[in-house]
Amino acid sequence: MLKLDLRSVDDERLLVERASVRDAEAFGELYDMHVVRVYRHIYYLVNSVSEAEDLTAQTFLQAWEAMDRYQDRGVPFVSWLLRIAHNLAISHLRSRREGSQLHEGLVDHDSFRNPEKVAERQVEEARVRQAILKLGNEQRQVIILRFVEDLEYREVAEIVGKSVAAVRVIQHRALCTLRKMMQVESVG
Amino acid sequence: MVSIVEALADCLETMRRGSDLDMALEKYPEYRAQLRALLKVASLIRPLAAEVTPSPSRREAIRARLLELGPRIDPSFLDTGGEPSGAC
Repeated sequence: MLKLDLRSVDDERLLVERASVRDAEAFGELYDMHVVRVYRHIYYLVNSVSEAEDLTAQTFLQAWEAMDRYQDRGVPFVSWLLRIAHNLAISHLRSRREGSQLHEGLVDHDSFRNPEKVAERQVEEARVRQAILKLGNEQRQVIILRFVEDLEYREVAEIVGKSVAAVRVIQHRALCTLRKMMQVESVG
Repeated sequence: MVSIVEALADCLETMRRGSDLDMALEKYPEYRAQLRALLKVASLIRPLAAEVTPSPSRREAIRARLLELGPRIDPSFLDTGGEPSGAC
């Protein structure tokens, strides 16, 4: 299971406290802890390496500027970061005239180019990834948060601004959509 | 009767806690076929986390971009550079 739990919650809380009083070194440590998840989350929404890089940087900049307003209300710090990332990415997608169409060379994953990994499982995963990228923003967001980021329903609900019940409905619809897309691809 | 939305959520949680697909499905014979297909799709998504992971150089590029965007960030932000401490 993918969890960023190499540091204790208490360690992170201390870093957040330090960062909220403008301790840049503490913020740098928080950056190191969460940059991968933030980047990946944005990447799956915007489907572009360069845009994901830029929006990831913007996410951390906004977080730095708002650190003194962050309040631990039982929601993990990473959920707060992902909410910022979500808002930035959605706003970016809205401003992008063509929407979230697929780009050439869309995946930033060096390991995927490794010929040794061309096994049936990887091929299947690549198909799933492509299918995820074709989902609508809301369904894609929930799928990534639930299955790639492995967040709890209440954390996902907090990030996307919906109820837990609504998140479960979106999750169901998204998996149905993915299943249909993959069936079509298999047949076609 | 539990809706398929709730049954799916429950099965996913059961599998998340380590049960296999068949064990998760035992409680919901009425939805067995539909749930099996959806759970199989879900099981293919989890490994994707490792596939889209920025390389160290890309992480440094993002850090540099951040410093470029936010000149008010103290340069000591750079001091913690290197490999991220989180998993992936």
